[in-house]
Amino acid sequence: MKILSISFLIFMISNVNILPQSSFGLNGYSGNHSSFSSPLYNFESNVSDYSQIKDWGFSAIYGMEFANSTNSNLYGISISKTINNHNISVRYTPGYQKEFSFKTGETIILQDSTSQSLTSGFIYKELFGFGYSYKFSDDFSAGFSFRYFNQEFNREAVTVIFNDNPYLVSESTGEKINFWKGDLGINYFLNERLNFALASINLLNFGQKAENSEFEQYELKKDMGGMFGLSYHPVDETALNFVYETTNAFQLGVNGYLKNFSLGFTLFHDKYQSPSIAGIIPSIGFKSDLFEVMLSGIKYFSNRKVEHGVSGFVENGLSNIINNPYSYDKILLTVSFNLNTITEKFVEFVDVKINKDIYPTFKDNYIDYPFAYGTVVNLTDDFINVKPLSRIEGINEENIQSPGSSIAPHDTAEVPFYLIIPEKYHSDKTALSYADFYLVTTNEQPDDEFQKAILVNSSNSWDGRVSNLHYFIRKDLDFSMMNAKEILSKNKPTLDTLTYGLEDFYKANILFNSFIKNLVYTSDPRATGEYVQFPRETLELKGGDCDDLSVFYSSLLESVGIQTALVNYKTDGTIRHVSVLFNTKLSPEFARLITNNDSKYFVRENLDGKDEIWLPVETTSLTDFETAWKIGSEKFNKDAVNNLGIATGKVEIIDIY
Amino acid sequence: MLMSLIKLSVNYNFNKQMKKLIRYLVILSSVLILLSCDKPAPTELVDDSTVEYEVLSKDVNDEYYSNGGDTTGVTQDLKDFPNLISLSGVKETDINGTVHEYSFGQTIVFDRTKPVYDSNRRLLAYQTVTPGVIRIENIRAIEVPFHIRYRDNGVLIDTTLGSKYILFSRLHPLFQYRHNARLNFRLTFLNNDFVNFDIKTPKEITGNVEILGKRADGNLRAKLNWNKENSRDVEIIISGRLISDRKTVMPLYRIKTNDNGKLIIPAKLINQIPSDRFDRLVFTFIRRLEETHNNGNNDLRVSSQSIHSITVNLP
Repeated sequence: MKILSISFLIFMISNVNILPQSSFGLNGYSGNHSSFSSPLYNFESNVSDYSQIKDWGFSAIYGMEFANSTNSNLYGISISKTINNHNISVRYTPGYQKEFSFKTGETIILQDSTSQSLTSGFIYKELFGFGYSYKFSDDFSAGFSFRYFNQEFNREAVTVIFNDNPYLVSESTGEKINFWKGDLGINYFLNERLNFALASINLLNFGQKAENSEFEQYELKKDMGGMFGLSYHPVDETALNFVYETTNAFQLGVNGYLKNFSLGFTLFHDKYQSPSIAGIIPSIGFKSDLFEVMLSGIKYFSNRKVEHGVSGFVENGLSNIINNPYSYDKILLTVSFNLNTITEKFVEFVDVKINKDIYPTFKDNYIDYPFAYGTVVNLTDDFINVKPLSRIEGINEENIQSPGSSIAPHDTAEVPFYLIIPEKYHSDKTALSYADFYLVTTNEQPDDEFQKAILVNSSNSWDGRVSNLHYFIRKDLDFSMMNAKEILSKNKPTLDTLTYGLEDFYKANILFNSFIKNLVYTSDPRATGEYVQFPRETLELKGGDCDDLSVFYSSLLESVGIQTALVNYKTDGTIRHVSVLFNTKLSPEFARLITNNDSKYFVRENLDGKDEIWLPVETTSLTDFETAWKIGSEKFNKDAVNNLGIATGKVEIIDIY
Repeated sequence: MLMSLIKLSVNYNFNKQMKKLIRYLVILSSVLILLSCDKPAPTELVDDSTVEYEVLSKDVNDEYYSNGGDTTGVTQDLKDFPNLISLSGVKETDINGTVHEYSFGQTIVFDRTKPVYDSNRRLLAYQTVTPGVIRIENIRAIEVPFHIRYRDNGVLIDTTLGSKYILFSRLHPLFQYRHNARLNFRLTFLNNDFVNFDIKTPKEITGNVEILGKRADGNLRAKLNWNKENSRDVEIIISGRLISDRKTVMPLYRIKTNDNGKLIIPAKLINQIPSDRFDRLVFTFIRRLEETHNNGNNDLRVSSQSIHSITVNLP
């Protein structure tokens, strides 16, 4: 089954069936297998055998015939198109013709006593055909075909010129007869091993009939009948095929498939031909992604270069243009091209779930956590490695490949999609965009794709989670550092004279008084509180709310190496409040260097296990550092310590790094 | 988890791929078309049946036909004038469907040293001789004059070549032609030397004629059937009875075909027979066994035939 499946999936060239005179095909059954077939192969098998062509298919058969002289010619070209469950195919068959030339057996004695033998010439052609099939389900399909035939009869006949001296002359008469044949058929897959086909033979016949009674007996036979086909796969790489026609013909075929090669033999019986098994059709094929080539032959077991009598021809007529007692051995080369742009699916999406809206400033978040999950089903009988790709319109110019997943046969799995937001990306507006998701397996092209709307927030948008404010703090760190260092350099004399260990305290003091003190508190312009200014914007706008001011102050401190944390007060009713906590790096025993009030600092243990003094600063006080520290301390003590805010989770301390 | 994601440039450039495909297609199609000027080989069928048509009446105004003929309406090909021994079992079905049967035998011996010419020095025949007594089935044949009629410079001339031997059942009731049998022939020369041998006769032929179609439609044709004897040919003579005297039957066509029991005489032959000159057609089926013994100027042709003549009206 593995080989079958791979073949089936790799090659989208397949079968389009238009029934000719009977089920005989130039490629035998080798052309009758879904994994190794072309639009031309199966015109002869079953009209309803739904094409596996996913888009466009093109085939051509070129052959050489070993008559008394060797002839070579194009037997047919065909093109087919599949649209959803509909398949349409058209073929032109210049090589589907049989010409007879013979002496009628009539001789006339001319005026000069010489004799002249009369001759005839008949040509039978199947010129073109078209077919349609519809796939009702994976198991069942039905269709019809119409084919256009032309017959041309020319005959020399004796006539007399009856004057005073009568004499005989030959006179040519001819007639061209065009007609259509139409047939119906169904195809049913009982299971993976067994499928059946049923089709009519010569169900509909309409068009011209011979006006000259002489030619009636030579018209192509149109015996109405039926065809029953059975294909059985005893093992994955082998197919046994049998077709029986009520018009007393059958075919028996065996085909083997191995990787890109196929080998087949088809024996056929026809009541009009002898011996009982009239011949064999061996074939060998090779396929690649772009094309498929099959070399086949038709070898008749009787000598085809013997003379044939007219009486036999008159008695049995002609039922099949390409396979009849007068057909010669052939070698045929069939080339098929896959013009498909639609890839055969190994996997497909069941659904895609967007985890969260996109906040462009949180870009690192999307590297660690998927922004979406695809529910993907493996359609094959084998484990499949799936490469998920995604792209958000307006953010990504290229597809982003997320880590691959292996999915068990016919299993369904959640496949994560990650996102990379380019450094330079910035958006002032929140907008609805689209995310395209692709699943890639062994094909160059995606097996399946899915598109879903997604909200892409502006760069200033914030999801309200204080833990995510650090993205805003980091964003303008260079800007903050530049400004902070400029101010601190101006205060170098002061800083140089400080007692060892007080540098961070005084730096925080200077930076607060230099920047924060001069700002104005303003509410979010978007009213929701989910809009956060970058430090640069806060400085330029000369104000902001608690988020903006805390982000700005934290950014300034972090830019000069002062460790900060944000304090998230969740107790202020519907309004969230954020303030800053920074690390003085002073140990508690040196707290008296900055304050004698124990309630104005907070001790936290660093990674080395040593206690350090952290100071809460209320950035919205917009006064001086001392006041902001005082207010911050009071609020921190009240909400975080006295009211057990930290213990209950109502106050949260979030380290920036 | 910080993953190292790979940016994959998946450029689905279908156009590029399609261009590549189309290029292959164009090249392949061109090659195929160039190579495909030929067509599948025709099959030449060999007809195992033969039909040979010949016009017998070279001049419909001339009641003499150089191909030879006799009162039975049967033409005997005297081309090259071999010596002839001919035995016939004849059935005639008249216009009323009544069948008349008789037997006829004749022997003609030419003297090659005595040619007969017309005034234009065209060889008409040779004078005949009677070298002795001829008996067929021990019944003596009688000697009768052998007349021929020919047109010489527009004038009908009767002449006698000499004598020939005949046996006619209506004159010699004991003489009865037997089909599929052997009839004894004996020639006793004047010096009592003799030649004695048996002549094999064919199976009896019985035919049927059906006129199909209409003259006005141009599809007047004759469907002939007879009891087939596949191994040999049959000869069918189509004659017309002249309206002018309602007696003379003029052979028009000779058709040789396989003895397969059926033949349709094409409309082109029947429809063309002028109904203002002929009122009836006589279809004469002849199954003949014939041997020719080459002997220089004294070739001998021994012919034995079963004959069935059927008269029908010419529409």
